[in-house]
Amino acid sequence: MSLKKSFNVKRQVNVIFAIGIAGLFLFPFLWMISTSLKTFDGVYSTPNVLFPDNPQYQNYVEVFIRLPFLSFLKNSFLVSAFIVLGQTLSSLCAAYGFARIKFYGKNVWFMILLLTMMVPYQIIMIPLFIFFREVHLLDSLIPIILPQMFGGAFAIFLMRQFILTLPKELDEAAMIDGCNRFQILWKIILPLCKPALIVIGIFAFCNAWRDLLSPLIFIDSLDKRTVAQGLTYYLNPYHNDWHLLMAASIVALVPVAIIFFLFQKYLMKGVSMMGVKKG
Amino acid sequence: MNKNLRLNFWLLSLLFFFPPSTTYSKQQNIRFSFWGDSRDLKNMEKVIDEFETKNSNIKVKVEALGWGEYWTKLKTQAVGNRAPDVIMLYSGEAPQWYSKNVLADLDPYIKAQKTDLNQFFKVAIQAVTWKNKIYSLPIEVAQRVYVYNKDLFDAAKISYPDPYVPITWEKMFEISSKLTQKDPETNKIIQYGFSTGYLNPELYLYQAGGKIFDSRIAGSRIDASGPENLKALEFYRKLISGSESVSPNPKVQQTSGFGNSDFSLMTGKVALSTTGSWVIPDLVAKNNLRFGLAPIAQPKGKTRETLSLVNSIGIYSQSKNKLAAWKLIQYLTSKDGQIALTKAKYLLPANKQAAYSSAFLKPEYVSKVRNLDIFLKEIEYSNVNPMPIRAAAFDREFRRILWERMGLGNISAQQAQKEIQELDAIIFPERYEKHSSASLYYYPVLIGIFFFIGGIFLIRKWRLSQKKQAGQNISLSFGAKNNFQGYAFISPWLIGFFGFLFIPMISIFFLSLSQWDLLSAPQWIGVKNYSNLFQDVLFWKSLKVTSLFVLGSLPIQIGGGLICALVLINIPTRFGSFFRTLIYIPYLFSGVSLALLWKLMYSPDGGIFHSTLNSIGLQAPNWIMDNRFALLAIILTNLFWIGNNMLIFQAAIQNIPKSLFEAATLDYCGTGKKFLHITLPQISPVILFSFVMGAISSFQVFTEAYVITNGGPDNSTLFYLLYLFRKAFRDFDMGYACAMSLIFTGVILIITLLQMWSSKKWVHYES
Repeated sequence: MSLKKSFNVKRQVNVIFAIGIAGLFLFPFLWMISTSLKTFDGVYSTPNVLFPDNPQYQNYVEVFIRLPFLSFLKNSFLVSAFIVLGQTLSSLCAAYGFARIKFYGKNVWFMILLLTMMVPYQIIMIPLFIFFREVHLLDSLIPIILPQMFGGAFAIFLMRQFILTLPKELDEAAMIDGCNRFQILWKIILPLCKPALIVIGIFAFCNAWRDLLSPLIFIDSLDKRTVAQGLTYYLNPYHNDWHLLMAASIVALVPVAIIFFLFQKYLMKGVSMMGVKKG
Repeated sequence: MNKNLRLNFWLLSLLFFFPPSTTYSKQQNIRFSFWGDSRDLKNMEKVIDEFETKNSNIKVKVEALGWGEYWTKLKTQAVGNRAPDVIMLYSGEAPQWYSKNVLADLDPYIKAQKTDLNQFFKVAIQAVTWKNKIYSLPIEVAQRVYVYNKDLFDAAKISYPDPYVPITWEKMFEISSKLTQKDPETNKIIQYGFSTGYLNPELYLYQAGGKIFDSRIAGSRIDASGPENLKALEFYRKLISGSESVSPNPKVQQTSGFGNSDFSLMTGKVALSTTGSWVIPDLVAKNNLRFGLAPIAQPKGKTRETLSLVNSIGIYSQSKNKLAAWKLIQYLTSKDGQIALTKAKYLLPANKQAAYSSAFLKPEYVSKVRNLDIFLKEIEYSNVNPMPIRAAAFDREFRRILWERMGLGNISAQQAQKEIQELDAIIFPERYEKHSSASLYYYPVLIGIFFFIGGIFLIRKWRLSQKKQAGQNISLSFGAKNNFQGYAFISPWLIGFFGFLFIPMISIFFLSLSQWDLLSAPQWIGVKNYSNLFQDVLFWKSLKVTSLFVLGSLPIQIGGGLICALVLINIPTRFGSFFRTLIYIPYLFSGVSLALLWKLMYSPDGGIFHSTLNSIGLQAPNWIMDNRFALLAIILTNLFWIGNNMLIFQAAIQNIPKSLFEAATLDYCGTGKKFLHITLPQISPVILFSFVMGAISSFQVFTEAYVITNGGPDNSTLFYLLYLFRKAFRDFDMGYACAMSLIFTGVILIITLLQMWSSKKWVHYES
């Protein structure tokens, strides 16, 4: 009895602790929303209030008027969509090769794949810039999309781990029925890999969405910018319109939030899978 | 055949009606780019429309970019050979464009058209002449004057300054200290007497009779050790730093509730401010504001001097329509064009006739400010800002010393003067070139050895694992079909690997042995980049800053993740999923948006960190403006990243066999003991994994640094990638940046290998 009681007390302490942490995490977001509804002066007024007296909803309209924010969104969607598609499919293909087919030099290539995880993408930006300059593709979305379309090391690794958990008998049965490797991948493995594909897709989407460095390097024109780069446009050394900045930031976060809530279940499972399988 | 004939006939008859065009009647498209926002763009388009109606064969595409952005993009465009035909420049950035043949020499056009250069102000021509050649024509003079708030002067019973005779420095300081007011309770300044914001600090040195360069335009060395400079710096330090300061530090002012110079003037938070003619329309429009204009203060007994910045337009040297571009320049700098520009957006024209016209001296403005012509009077005493070949770099470094070091009270005026003199090495590195000696070949050899040993190590490891496998599985037959299929399936990755990793890596190595600014041909310089790099103070600083960041981040990422995972396991499921979502979401959201949120939270006036710390009675630091706290501020942003580790750890803890805990309970082990002896060892492989991934990703931090502090203050948050980015895409020193890239890869490899190696000592593996 006393043991159970102490267990309950412990549990309550944990709940209180959790509420505290949750509050700490929630507050900045409330602050963000609150700031986005203030006037310029309201941002700096003392005492600073969480609920502004007359919320300025037109700040959100202003965001779209001041800058071509719609085309920022469109560009970001384009970039993200291509990267997600390219990365999931390439990763699936390569992972299948690594997981199921025995070929000469496989282990060397897999080792190299693991090694490339440690090479930061940013360091090759200079040769990429020079290359895309030579082929006259600067100031377009292609230099941002193309290098990311061939499957990341981490994605391939995750995918391979996932495919390894699927019973090999499925492949063998299909092969007896006359399927070739590609058909096996397309008809049997792909549907089973849906959870892993979704996780990889979400990460590819988020990474593409938040990427600031590549657009900074490759894009000049205002109407070809992505959201991340467009947001920095508001950063003026002499003038910070925080209310607009926050409104724009919230608009920029909405697509990520939607995707998160749509695929939350898969995502949570997928992330947990990451570490455990590695050990 | 028949068809062709008919077509030819048609074409011939067309030629008859429309004779082959001369170069003039053909439609010519040119691009013109300048800095400004969407409103400026619309105004400029109006003026350009007028030009197009006069020159119907020329079509102008106008592009506007934000300041700052404009210069980076102009560079990327110039190195990509696609800069706009007509480029706008300002005197603080112009020299590097003049000297690198990006702009066409305008002399032939000026001679051919007999353009009269005397129609412009003297200072404007001073700014566009580089080594006896003219590369651009002036369009606008940014002349600084004082604007004062009459109500605040009246309230303090101070008489207005004379409209034409400058007051002395001492008088200005005296007036300003009377007008500076503190909140008696918090002792915080609520009203400043003076805002020096938009005034180039160089002017104080020149006014005092000092100098900075051996010559104002195209100087070749810094010569700033004179006693007059010290006097000026001491005065400037008194103005913006310390307890008796009368003017906010321009760097701090930007992020504070005072807003910029103009904003603080208009809201009555500053009594006397330095600004330009652009502010006049806003001031006039504010009916309840009474204001006056006055000339810039001068030190006693010195020659009167003020300073102007000059905006000008030039022709891109690779332009295919130089004649059309020249026509546009000619129009925009002519009296008519200048008046049209001034009418569209109020500015001070560089063309004298336009400046003295009613477009600038607008009757409705003059009726409110009698001495509006003070701008024109001040120009007579004006010189352009110093224009050494690396004017932009000088500007940046000079302000860093004055605002981020001396202005924050970190160094004395003497020290500032010494550091300004030392800028010589940065602004004129050519004079400091050392001849590379044989011993310098040491560095790349060392790097080569490192990669070689690393390679051997990896191959050995792979061989061992091969042997193990061979032992388990004796028949290792591959078969041609399997080989083909295997490579076919991994081909997407192979293409990406070779195209976007392997070949670029090889080219980085070769580029790192050359010097290349993309504008001229690359030069083979051997290992000089590496030897320069190892002597570069900023390189070591950025390495140190990044390492400190990684060291600070990992405990937060791992510890925070672990704590949250433990809490998460011990709370009811329903509440748990809400908690989990809340902690995890910032991880997905991270990027520019959240970096901006952090920046807001840290800002001294609207930020919650400040108000919270102040409300519990603590003196809050100015987080991102204080070089002792800025790095810590960025490390704290890691708090938003713990969600991912939390999920991973939670899953790992749930995977631990229950029997272990049950056995421990039977042995009367407490929670702490269970955690130390069961949970921690069991999940240690997962912790190692998070450690490695966390270290790698922390080393690559860029967005937070770029958005929150942009490397400042005083380079205290100059992260490695930010420095690399600046070297590559601001200075276009590609060889140097490639050398940095290679070293970066090496550092990350070393750290990962070290972590793997040390893992044997503390990671617990089953079986």
